[in-house]
Amino acid sequence: MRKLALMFVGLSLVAVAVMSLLAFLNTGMTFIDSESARLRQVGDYARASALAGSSADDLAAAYAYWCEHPDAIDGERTYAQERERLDAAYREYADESERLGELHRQRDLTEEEAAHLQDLENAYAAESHVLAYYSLADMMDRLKTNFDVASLCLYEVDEASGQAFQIIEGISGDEVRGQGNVYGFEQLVPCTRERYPGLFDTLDAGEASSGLDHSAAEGYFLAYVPLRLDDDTTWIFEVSVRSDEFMSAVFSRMEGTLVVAGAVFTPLLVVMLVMLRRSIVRPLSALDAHVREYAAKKDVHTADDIRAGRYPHDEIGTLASNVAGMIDELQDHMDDIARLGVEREHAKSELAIASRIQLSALPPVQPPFTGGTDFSLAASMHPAKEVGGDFYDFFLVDPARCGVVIADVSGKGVPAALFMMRAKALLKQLLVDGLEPVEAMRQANDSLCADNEAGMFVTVWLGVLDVETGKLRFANGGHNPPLYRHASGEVEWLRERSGLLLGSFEGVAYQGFARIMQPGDTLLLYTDGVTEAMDVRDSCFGDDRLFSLVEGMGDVPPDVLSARVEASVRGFAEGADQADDITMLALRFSGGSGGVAATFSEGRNE
Amino acid sequence: MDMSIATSREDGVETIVLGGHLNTNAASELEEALVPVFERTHDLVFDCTALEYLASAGLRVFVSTQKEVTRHGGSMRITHVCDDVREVLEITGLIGVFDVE
Repeated sequence: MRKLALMFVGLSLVAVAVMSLLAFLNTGMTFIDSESARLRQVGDYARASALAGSSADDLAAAYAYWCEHPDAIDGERTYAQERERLDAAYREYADESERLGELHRQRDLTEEEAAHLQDLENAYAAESHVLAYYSLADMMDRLKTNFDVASLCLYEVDEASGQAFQIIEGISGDEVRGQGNVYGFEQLVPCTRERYPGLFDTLDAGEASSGLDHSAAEGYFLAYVPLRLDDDTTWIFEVSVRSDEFMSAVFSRMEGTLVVAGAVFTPLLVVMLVMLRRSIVRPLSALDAHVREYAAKKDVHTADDIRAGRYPHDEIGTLASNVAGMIDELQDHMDDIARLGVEREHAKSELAIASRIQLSALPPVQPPFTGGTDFSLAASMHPAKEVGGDFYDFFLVDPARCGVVIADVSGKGVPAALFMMRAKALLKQLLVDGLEPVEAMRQANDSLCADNEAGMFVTVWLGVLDVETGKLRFANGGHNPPLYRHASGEVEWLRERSGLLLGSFEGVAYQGFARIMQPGDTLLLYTDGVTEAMDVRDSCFGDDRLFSLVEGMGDVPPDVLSARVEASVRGFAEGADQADDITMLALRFSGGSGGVAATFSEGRNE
Repeated sequence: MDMSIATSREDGVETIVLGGHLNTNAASELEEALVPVFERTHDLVFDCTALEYLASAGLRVFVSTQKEVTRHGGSMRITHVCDDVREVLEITGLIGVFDVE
């Protein structure tokens, strides 16, 4: 929020600066324009004054006289003195003219008299030409003084020779004509087009320059006004100001503008900030406070508070109502999650119950075989999910024979568990009924195939051990080959296969097998959860690893054997999810002592 | 490891190319993918060139597919199986039921 306000202030300052700068420049430009107009005006005045007393022809004639009689112009003389001289010349001419006129009525004038009168007339005419010079000079002096310009000069620009000649320069203050600002006409200082392009441009254009020329002389701005005398002669008045004075005048005006701009914009900025605070910052802060409150307390009434709040009818108002709506939705969502959580807990506890029921269906490990030493047995099952598809079973078929079963139902969860219960009950029943393992398997398959809508199947390895003779009859319906460890330490796979897995194809035949267990031989049944346990890199525990493990373990009791295999599998799969049930059953034949006697190690997983 | 399933059709025979691990999740995916296939044909080939692992759930799909095509007089072939997959088919005895190349 503070960042937003700061950003706004920053932007406003930039805007003020830019606007002030524009006003500043505008003032400067305006001043330049008015100043150039003023200079042109001075030139125009000079031109108008020159033409006020005399016609262009008179001026042309006077100019011609000055050029022919440069000595007639005396720089130290003033207009008033020249005026007296003209008056004197006129009086002399007038008096003589009157006297000779009188005389002429009595007699004809002599040639001398006539010539004398002509001389006086000529002298008078000459003085009026000279006076024209002083008249112009006097006029220019006054203009220069009154308008406070740096210079006011009169040039003749001669197109044919490409040269300009300075004729008169106005003087002001303590300046004295004749000291560098008047020229003998035989020594007119020529100015070339290269040095004074403005002069020649004005000649070409035939009218006053529109802007200011600063190319002619360093440190001056110049304006030109032409005065055409006749076809051959053009005068140009040149007016100048010093550029440093000019610029400082410009700047002093612009500074004023800057101050004014600051004085206008600063209160404006303050007003805008206040408005910003009222219309954006304050409502946003209020909304922010509500959102924080909701985040902290999760109080759903915050939404109502926001709706009750006074927000402007703009984007902020929309935002506020959206936030209120979002809080409502969030609340609904949290309610949903809470409800789902309850439902999930419910399902979880049901699964846990199912799991317990299923595990309790596996034989507890202390039961009917007690008090003997003919064999020992350990079994364990660790489901991947709460309810697994693996099972093991062991039981007495008759007093001298022990049945063992290990099986893996396809899939997991409740359907697999139900199928497993069915398969387990069937197999046990068939074996206890006295059927050979292979026959039990055949009948179990046919039964499981019936009414198997879900298409489940089960791989089964089952065997019946005669504890007196050590004869093991067994059948393998699609299950992993068990490991067989001889008392000698030699290990082998029991690769005999009876036929197809159970539950899929009805009426298939199975083949039975038998072998004699020697005292000290151990049978390890397991499911693929052991060999196909995967590590974090998706590689399997594998048959070879299991084989080597059992081979290297020596003669150990079944519970130790299964515990070590399990530990090894768990160590291997450390960090990876358990994908499948891990189930094992180990059976060690101790020797035919003549009676059933077994010990069982507890291995059932809780 | 993920499962990949791609189907193509030629001369009325649908070839389903399987890759990766056909585990429980992938098996239900495959089952779903087969539903529209059964509407077109019951002559199938499972090309297992890239199939690395076959779980029991995957076997179940093969079994149910075998039953489905048999019921409709069609055929199912499993081709290019790797050693691991072949071993699973052998152990379960299904190699005798399926047409495996």
